[in-house]
Amino acid sequence: MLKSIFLTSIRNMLRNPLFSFINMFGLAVSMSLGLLIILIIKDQYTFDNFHKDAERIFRVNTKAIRTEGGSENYASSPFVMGTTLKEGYSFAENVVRIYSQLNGDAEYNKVTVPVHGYFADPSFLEVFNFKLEKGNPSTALNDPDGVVLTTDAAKKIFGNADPMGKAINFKGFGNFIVRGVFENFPGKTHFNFEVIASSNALPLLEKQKAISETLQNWNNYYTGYVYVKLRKDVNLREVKSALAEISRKNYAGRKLETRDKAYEFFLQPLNKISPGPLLSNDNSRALPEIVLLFLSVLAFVILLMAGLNFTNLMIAKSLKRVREIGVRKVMGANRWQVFKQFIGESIMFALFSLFVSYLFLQFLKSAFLKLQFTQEFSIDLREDSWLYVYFILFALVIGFFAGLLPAGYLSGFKPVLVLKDTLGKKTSSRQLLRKSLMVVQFTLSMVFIAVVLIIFSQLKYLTKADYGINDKNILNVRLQGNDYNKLALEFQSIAGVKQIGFASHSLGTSHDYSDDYKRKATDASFVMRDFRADANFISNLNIQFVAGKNFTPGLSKEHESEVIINEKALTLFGFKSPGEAIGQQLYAQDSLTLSVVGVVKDFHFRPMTYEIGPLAFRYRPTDFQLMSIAFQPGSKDKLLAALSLIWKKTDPVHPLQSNLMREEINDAYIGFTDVLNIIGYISFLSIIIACLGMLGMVMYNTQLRTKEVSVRKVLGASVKDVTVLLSRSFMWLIAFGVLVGMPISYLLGNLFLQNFAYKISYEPLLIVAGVIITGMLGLITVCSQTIRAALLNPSKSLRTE
Amino acid sequence: MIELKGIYKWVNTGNNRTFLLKDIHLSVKEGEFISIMGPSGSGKSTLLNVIGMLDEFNEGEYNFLHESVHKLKEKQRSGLYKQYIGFVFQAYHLIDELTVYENIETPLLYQNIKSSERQAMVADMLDRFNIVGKKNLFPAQLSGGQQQLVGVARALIAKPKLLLADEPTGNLNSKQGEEIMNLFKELNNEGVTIIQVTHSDKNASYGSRIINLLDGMIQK
Repeated sequence: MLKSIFLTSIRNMLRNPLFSFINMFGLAVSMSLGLLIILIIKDQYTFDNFHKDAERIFRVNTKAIRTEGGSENYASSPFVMGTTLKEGYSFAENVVRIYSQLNGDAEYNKVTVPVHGYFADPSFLEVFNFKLEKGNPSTALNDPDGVVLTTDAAKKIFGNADPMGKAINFKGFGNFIVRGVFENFPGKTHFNFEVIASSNALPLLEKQKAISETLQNWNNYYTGYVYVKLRKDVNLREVKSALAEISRKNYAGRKLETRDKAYEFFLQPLNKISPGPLLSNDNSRALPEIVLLFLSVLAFVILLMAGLNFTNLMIAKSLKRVREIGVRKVMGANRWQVFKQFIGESIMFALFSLFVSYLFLQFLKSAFLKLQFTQEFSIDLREDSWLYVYFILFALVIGFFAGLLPAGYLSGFKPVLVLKDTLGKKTSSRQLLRKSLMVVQFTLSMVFIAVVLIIFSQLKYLTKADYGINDKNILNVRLQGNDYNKLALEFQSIAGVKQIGFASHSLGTSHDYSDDYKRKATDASFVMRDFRADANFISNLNIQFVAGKNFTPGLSKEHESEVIINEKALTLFGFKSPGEAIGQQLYAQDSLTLSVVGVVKDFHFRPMTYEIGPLAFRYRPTDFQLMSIAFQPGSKDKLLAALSLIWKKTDPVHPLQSNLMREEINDAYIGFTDVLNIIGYISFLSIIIACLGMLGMVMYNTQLRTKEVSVRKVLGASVKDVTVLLSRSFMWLIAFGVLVGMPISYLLGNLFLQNFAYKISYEPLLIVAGVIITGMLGLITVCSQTIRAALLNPSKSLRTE
Repeated sequence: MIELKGIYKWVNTGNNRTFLLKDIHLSVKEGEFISIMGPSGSGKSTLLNVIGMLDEFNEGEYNFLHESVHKLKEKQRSGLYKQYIGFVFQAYHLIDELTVYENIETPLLYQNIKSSERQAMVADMLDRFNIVGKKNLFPAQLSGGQQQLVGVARALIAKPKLLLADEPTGNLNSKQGEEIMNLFKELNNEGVTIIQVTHSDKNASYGSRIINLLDGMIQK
């Protein structure tokens, strides 16, 4: 039986090669998307699956309730929470406290390398299943100066030398002795570290003010992570009420951060961390669940379309086989046997498509890994044997569901009806279902295309937009802790450099400072964004003054005295005109008096997702993190070469980080570029699927009507008449589908454009363009078949009938 | 073997009731070779389909090998004809995607016969009809006569007691037709009961009895 199914399906495929190709291509392309999602999901669910008793390990998360309403969930929690749990509650078998700020430079033997890691309790090595290749896990982190390295970090710092017992200097934290080296981790983990230093070092560091107040500070819920391993058979409700009790006891009467009203704590199981819900301060490198969901939904929509297509084409094709079904039934087949045959063929087909889609997958994989957002996460799209099992299961499921409808329908035929050729009437009733499927597909395609056009145009608009400043021929270089004066001196002499300025942040990105400001000492202060910059930075960017002038040359580096504000800030301070503001005193940080020396024209200092707001420039060299180099047009490559040479000499530890200013501005929209890429690909798939589906349906229908066409032509119909006749009903379907799509794409387009304060105004035009594109593609598809049918020589088809 | 008593079959078109079969009484004994004749639209094929249990009737009794067909459920009915009846069609109705061998084998697949046994049975049949050399060809590669030969072989593979043939020679030239009729005669001599629908007096003469139909009624 199986062999017979196999043979008939292959022969059927070969009998209609074009039809089979259409079918297989459409299915394979969309299946490849499904395969990719399976691959991603499978990979993302391998985080932290190697810890013993993982079901008893939890992270304590913080829910900060804001004064102005709402709340925010943090993966971190106060360090002291861990201490409290450990000392006061018996349900905790073990507690791991982590202070996450061991970031910076590590020096050994006069060589400095940047590292990142944690301070953690010795129990870290006990609770989590990170094995040591060298060193004793039960003592390695006991001493305050103990540190354990990953093999990569050991290699980075020590090369091939044995690191055990050697001292590393962590800049700002002092000397640590290497007491252990980790084995390579048995799998992925949400922890992100190269070094683990003993938390016993923290008390001294806190005393020395090397770290901010942490150990007993209930208000610092940003820098610590607390993990708790519960005893067996502990009721989670008990822990919950304990956490509530802790919150009540320790925050009563305490002065909280101004934006917070209260804190609540909750447990997150270790195996639900990655992938998990979006949390602030999460150090996990797994894709958030919401992204997985988004991708899955997209894949599902596409698979649904392809599956419907497959079903649709199967029905169309199978109608040619009703005679065969009749014969089989007369030969003694029962309904179930015929059903099995068709389901079998469908599954067989899906398996063939799986093979093709696997080829597509290889291309898709690399495209996916090139997306910007994937760089932030740990994603390995490795294939193993289990994966292939999932793939095959996936194909089986697709084949089964796609074949269900045609198989169920076709196996129900009564043989006598089939053999008597009275089927014509019955089959036409199914057209309604198939037609609605077509309409849905064209609606979806049109929506996807219109949305892509909208996103594309908006991104184009953003990246070309005039920010009101000169952002061309400006190179941004991160200072990375280097002395800015020294660098400026070195760089000044490079050919092509016009002027070097400094600032805290680059304009046009989402990064900036903010501070409290007020006009008079007695006024209530308000928060305003500001940049710390020098006069060169401002003149590099060619920022226009409406009143006053740039910072006075030779200002004191220690004592701030001047401020420049923009037009938007005028009203906040109660100035009626720019001129009025010049020379006036303002207060910053409660007590610092600054005099306004200039008022600049409003310009975009944040991404265009935001309205232009009030702004101040202040001269505070201690906050400088960025060098802004204005250079001669065309000298960029030479400049960069010279720059990196000098940089290597001045700072051998950190690689040079430089970008064109406009590129940094446009990088703010990189997330949207990903969305564009993903939806672009989906819309490509969807229109292909819709057109292939349409093609199949038109082919089938015109074949059925060849005799009618011939008769009409003999009776005097022209090619045009016949083409119109054959195409008309399909054109209606396309038109209907596309029209339904118009309001939907308008809504979705608006949903996207809502993100931006400044946006394109011609959205309806783009929707019309989407309509035209989809309509044209549909039209071409339909006419390619109908014109051919209309051109056929009638004598030929009548003769062969 | 077959007892038809007062069989009526009709269709309603608007207020009119058109009778396809009217008061048919017919009994067929095992080993008979019957030809049903009559002009187009007289109900020959309908009668054959009713006998073959492919079509239902509205009134009357039908006993087949002492089973009351009119009382059986669909499933039992198909079980019955699967076991006892073979069909031959005017248009051969071979399955285009299957080879000669596979076409003949198909009914056995549906009776869950073991592979080795199937092979033996199909080989016998190919041998008997002298089409061993054509077993791997597809229907489109055969002449009409050869296709009908395969059709007959397929109908006989499950060793039916009754062979129903609807104008088996209708699409064949006279020589091919004669061959098929001779084959039928031979089969009949071996004990297979045959009922055929035919237009030709010559073909009818191969049979042992002729039933004339006109407007759904048997003419005496």
